[in-house]
Amino acid sequence: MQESDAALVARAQQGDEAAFEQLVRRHQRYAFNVAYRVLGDYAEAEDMTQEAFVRAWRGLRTFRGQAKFTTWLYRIVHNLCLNRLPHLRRELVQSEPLEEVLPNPVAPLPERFEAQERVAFLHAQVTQLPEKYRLVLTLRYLQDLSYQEIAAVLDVPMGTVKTHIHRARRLLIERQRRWEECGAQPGQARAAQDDNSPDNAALGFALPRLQEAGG
Amino acid sequence: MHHHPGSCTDVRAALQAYVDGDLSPEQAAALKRHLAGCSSCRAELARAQAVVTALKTWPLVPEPPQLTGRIMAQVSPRLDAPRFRLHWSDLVISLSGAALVFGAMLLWRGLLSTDQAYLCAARIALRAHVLRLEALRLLQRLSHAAVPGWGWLSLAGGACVLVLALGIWGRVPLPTQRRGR
Repeated sequence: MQESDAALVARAQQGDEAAFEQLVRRHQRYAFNVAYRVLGDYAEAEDMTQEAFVRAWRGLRTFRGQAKFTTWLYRIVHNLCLNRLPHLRRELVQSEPLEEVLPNPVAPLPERFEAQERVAFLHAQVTQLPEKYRLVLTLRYLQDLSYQEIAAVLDVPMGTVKTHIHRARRLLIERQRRWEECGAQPGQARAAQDDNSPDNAALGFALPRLQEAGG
Repeated sequence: MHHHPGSCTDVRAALQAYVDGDLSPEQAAALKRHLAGCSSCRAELARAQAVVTALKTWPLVPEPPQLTGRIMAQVSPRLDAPRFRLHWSDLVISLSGAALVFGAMLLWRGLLSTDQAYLCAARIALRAHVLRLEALRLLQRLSHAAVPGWGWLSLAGGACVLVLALGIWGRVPLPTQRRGR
């Protein structure tokens, strides 16, 4: 049975390096990906992850377990990101109008795009979002951190976190729309009108029943 | 939150909450009623769902293979290069030694300042001088008794014999040790 983070932290606080090594092995991939997604540089992300764990080890005695170890670790990573990108702090606490961060027209898309292509397109687009959006989206979807936990990591109000996530997703929706408009008329038509697509099919099947049930 | 989203604008504002399952059953039902008759909003829903799917499947980049080792090399003091650290014990020993030397010096100065102590010091110096003279005389007698030049050689030989004797004596078990066997 896998030992919990809390138990490993307790042992590591007594100086048990093996316990800390287990924590490193368990969380280094996530910590590394947080850094990599924000910085976009492999070598820098490696240095930052290394530094974050060393700081975590040195500050472990001050960790009282009020938050999860991951939340605390991501906070360290975030603080290191702030050192590297000083403007990030300012951008995290302010919310500019959505129009100001709308992307440039995206490249024409292939004539046909299926769900996989759409997801691949979105994976490419998400790396081009502003750093603050990449950061909140990573924290939200990498390990399912709650809004409250993300707010604790970033040291911003929970409402700000929700706004950033909403706007980031809104941006990705807008980019999809432009992508469709750019060169995939048939695909757009299918996405908009094809009631046989899984989502719409389910909705189309469910709605009449709901309406009937609702009178 | 809009309880009865009717227009496309209202529906689109609520779509993300709908995708996340954050709408109440009433809100969700009203939204679905709108979606049933609006292909444009259905397309928007498909986009919102695709975004969530993409974010949930955002691929993880593998970390560098030696990352754990590098982290632990910095964490573990065994693998660290030895770092200079000042221990309290070092400081205490150094200060004590300095204080002892300083105290001895003061004592010596104080003793020399009295006639009695000065006399005592003079006696010690005189004894030392006499001993030195006696040793020189003994050496001179030994060198005259033997072949000239053999005095020093005999002294060195004697010293070697003495050292050997001491070494052998040191290896011989003491009576108590013999009993112990």
